[in-house]
Amino acid sequence: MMYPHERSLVKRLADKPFALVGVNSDKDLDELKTVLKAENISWRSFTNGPLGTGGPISKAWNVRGWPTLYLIDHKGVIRYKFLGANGAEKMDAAIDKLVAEAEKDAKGGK
Amino acid sequence: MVTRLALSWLALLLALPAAHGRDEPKKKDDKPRTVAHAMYDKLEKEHLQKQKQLIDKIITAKGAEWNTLQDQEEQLGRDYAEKFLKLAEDNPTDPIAVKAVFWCLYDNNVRDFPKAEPLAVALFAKMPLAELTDKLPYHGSSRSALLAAVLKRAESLGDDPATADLFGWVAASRHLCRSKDTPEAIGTATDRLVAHHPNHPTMTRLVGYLWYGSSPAQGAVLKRIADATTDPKLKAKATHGLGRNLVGQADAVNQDPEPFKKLAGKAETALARVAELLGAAGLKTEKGEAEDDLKAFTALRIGTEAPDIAGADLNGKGFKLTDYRGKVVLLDFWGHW
Repeated sequence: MMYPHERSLVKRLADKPFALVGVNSDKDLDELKTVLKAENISWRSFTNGPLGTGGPISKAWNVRGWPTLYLIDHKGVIRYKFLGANGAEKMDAAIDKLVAEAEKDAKGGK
Repeated sequence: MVTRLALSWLALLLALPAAHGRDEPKKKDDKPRTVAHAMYDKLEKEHLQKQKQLIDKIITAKGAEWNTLQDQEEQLGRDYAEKFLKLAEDNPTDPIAVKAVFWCLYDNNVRDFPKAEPLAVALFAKMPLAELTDKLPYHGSSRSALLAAVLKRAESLGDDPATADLFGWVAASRHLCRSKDTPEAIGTATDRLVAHHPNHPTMTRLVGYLWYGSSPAQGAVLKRIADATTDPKLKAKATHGLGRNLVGQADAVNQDPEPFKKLAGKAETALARVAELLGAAGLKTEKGEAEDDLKAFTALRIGTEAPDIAGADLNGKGFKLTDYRGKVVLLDFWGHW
């Protein structure tokens, strides 16, 4: 499970221009809510709907394996895609790079 | 856990009709034809009964007890595989030997039973071709010795179309399960299929097994099939599989701009072509799917603007992906399972 890495990202970048947004493919949301509490999952997720992994958001985003993560920069451009739960270090480096870009642009006053 | 239980049930369901003699047309007097045949029926019945007792317990078991029972079921399979193997070894010329050996290889709910391989290899070489084709399963896994034996049998028969299914079975085997140690047999089987049986129905089945893979080796086989066949439906389907495979390959290297660009270009070319081919072959639904694959891939390439998402959060409250503009967003497709 990736929860520890996700929790540490959210904590580490709390004051930065960064957000973790989920697209959750569980079918039973009531059961999921106990997991959110137990795992301290504070970030917001879209629900992929009652079809679970066959839901409309994962379909539109061509997701065929879980987890799949897209990293989107502050301008809304897809910059990286990560497949599977490995590669936390690569992911951290990519996020830091994009966060630095966002901060630079914000200081430059657009 | 769920998979193992499901497999147990599958094994039981598969075993049931066989116990009633689906394979052997029964004579009116219903007498087994040989002593060995009667022994086979007895062993099969015993195993089925014992397995059913265990499965009844497994269904309600939890935790450590569940694991113990699963182990017991596997052990039961191994114990009976020993008995079936002895039956086959004692009666090597009786047709029942084939059934008994196949039981050891594929029906025992044990992953592998290498002890049965020497006899299996001998039987594969001489048993009726149609029976061999019919009995080789497209589930489970087969070890390299068995793949080599099937390949050898098929090769001994030249270009006979009846051998295409044997080559197809070998070619599909790596993609089915765990037979990773046999590239040579698979390569040879693929060569033969492409060269001699490019329009055989077994090719459609092979494409089906390759459909979900994204390795370069699987892509290469799909490309060879697409290039070789003159059947418009098969050509379209294989090209579609190739397009999806290339999308997978491109995704896997998406952080290296040059290789990604090259593979992405190839993927788009294949997917664009496939819509044409599918249209020409009259496959409308599949044409729509190929167009969706292409659209999704093009829209989601690295360097393009992310499509917006407007949806509900887990409490039913609406929000949008573009609400986060100005921030870096890690969009995480996840599930708790």
